[in-house]
Amino acid sequence: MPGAAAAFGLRTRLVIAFLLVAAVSAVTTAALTYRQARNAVLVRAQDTAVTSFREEVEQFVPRLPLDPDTLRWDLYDIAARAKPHPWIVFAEYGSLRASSGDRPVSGVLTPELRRTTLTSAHGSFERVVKDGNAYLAIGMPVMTRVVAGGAAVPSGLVLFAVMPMTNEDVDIDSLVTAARDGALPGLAVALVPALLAARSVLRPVRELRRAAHSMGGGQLDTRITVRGRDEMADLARTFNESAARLERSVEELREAGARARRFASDVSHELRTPLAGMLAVTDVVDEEAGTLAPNTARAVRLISAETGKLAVLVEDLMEISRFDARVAELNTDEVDAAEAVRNTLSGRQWLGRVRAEVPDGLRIRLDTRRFDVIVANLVGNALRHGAEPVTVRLSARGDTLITEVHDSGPGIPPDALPHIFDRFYKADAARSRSSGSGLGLAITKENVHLHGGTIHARNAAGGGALFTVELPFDGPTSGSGAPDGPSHAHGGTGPAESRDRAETIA
Amino acid sequence: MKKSPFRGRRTVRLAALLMLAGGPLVGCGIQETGVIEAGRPVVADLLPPREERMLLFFLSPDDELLPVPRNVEAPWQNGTAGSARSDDASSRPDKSPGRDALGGSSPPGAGMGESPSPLAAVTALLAGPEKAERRAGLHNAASLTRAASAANRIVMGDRTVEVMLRLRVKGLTAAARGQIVCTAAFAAQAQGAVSVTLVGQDGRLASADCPVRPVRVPTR
Repeated sequence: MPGAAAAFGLRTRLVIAFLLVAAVSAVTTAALTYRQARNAVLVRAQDTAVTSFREEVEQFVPRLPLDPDTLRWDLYDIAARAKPHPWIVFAEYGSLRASSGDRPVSGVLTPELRRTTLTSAHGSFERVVKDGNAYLAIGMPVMTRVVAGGAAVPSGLVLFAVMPMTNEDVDIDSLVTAARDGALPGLAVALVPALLAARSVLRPVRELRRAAHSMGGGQLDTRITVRGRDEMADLARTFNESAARLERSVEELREAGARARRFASDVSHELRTPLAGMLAVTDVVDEEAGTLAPNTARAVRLISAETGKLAVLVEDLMEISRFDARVAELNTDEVDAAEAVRNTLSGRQWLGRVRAEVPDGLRIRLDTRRFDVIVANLVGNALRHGAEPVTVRLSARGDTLITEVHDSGPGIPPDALPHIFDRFYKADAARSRSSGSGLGLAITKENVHLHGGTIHARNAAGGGALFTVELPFDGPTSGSGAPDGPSHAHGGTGPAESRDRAETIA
Repeated sequence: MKKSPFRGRRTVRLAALLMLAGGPLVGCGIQETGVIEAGRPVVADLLPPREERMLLFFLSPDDELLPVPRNVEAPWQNGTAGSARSDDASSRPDKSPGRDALGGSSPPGAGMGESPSPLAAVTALLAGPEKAERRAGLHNAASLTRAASAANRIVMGDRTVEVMLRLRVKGLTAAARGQIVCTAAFAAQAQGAVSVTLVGQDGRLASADCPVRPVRVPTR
């Protein structure tokens, strides 16, 4: 099961990671800045309020013994000089309560602040949130000097100021807004480098994929342009080196193959001249054989027979090497297929042994010599390895002419069926010294492919081997001309044959 | 199944990331605080000049000792309010060498000579708070409520004051003793820096200092 990582592309993941990092840093920065700024705002407001409250109280503090009316007027004075924001001043002396506001006591003042203020010798403040509004409550004990300029004792009078922090609230809210408005565009801006970074990673990857694809398609000279010195550049360099090595290896293989083919071709050429001389001699020797001693005559006849086979083998080798070298030419004529078959059979003196079901009027473009080779090889094969009666049947299906050669022998062993068209393949090890060169069916197949057709071998339902050749009526299509045909055949035989195999075994 | 530990680790990582990002955000707006100390108290001259007042120590509604000034019309008229013997007692500090010894820390002119006598102060204290003072919740300790005019005589020595009372001093609560001690001490000396011995009908108590000690508060 692929994880979440696989669900997104590289670009998406890169961008998400980038944005995540940007978001974390932006939010953290904004939050820390916000905290600092908020604290600064609050601390400044508090310090200002506490200091100014103390100053105002020192200026307007009432005298003892306390007169409640004077006290209230003093509180009004203190309240009138509030800084930085308006405040309400409350006073406590014993059980006396007074304030500059409507009510003598405040609901904002907490018992903790009252107790601390009453019992300690320092000012205190407290932030209180009541009904969603923030207040600053300042408690200030008043100490009185016993003698002028001397030490002081607590007077029992404490003053409180309650200041709503509305402005600070507004300031801090605007800080939040500013932090948010700063962070969100920051994220949007971070998208640009994220996309650029993703692009800089993805472009080499995409190039690499394209190059690998085109190499798979056979273009071994594909190379990637190496940019920069990063890991991607290393990867591209490695890819290029591997591609170069692969190209070199393939080239060497190709040359080795070509050398081997050329060697076979040269050998058969070189053999042909002495063989021609030998054949001429064996003809003469054959005629004289009757006059020789019986043992010598048998030896002479064996020599001449083997020489003839050798000549056939050399001819076949030369034919094959022409196919391999892709110089086999196709000289097509429009002919009557039935006539061509009859010519072949009569030329080999097989008319008596082979039943020909060849309807007239099947006109087809083909190379008569090669068609002769195809039919002769198949029929000869059937006569040699199969059993009579052998039937040659011509029919037409769609655009193709179907030539079938059917014998009544034991058929082809199933394990030999896939290899029947291989060179020098002997279906039966015991027949290793058969009369054939071992190249007949291979040459037949090459000829069929040269025509743009196909050939199949299978065992017929009623017994006996059945070879089926399908040739297009129009001759080889324009795409598979003489030079291309064999290559197409070479490339195509592998899969085609495996498909045949599947068919035949089934 | 095999992926689950990875998934778990991923979740943990994500949570850590969110916490990292969200942590500083906790607490938007203005937060409540506890009580925070904020510098020196207000220090002012709330008391009338020493020669125009007596400083009596009553108890606040919270039973704290509070210095309560009470105006007197003239420094010397108050003496008649006390008994005949109090004239003797109050005349002694005038001639005492305590001006140098006791008032060393007090500025010149603030000596004890011009102040109303300690006996008058203790007598006024035992008489209880006046109407305005009562309205402010000031009161005497319970054991002093029946002690009006119990002040008998005050003997002033060098850094010591002896207060003779016509009541049983051993039955007095700590608050009541503190009231008398502080009133006598601050009457005898401007900063109250004398030890006071209470002597009653049932004997004498160990000398004590006033628990309310003036402290110097930095002005800035």
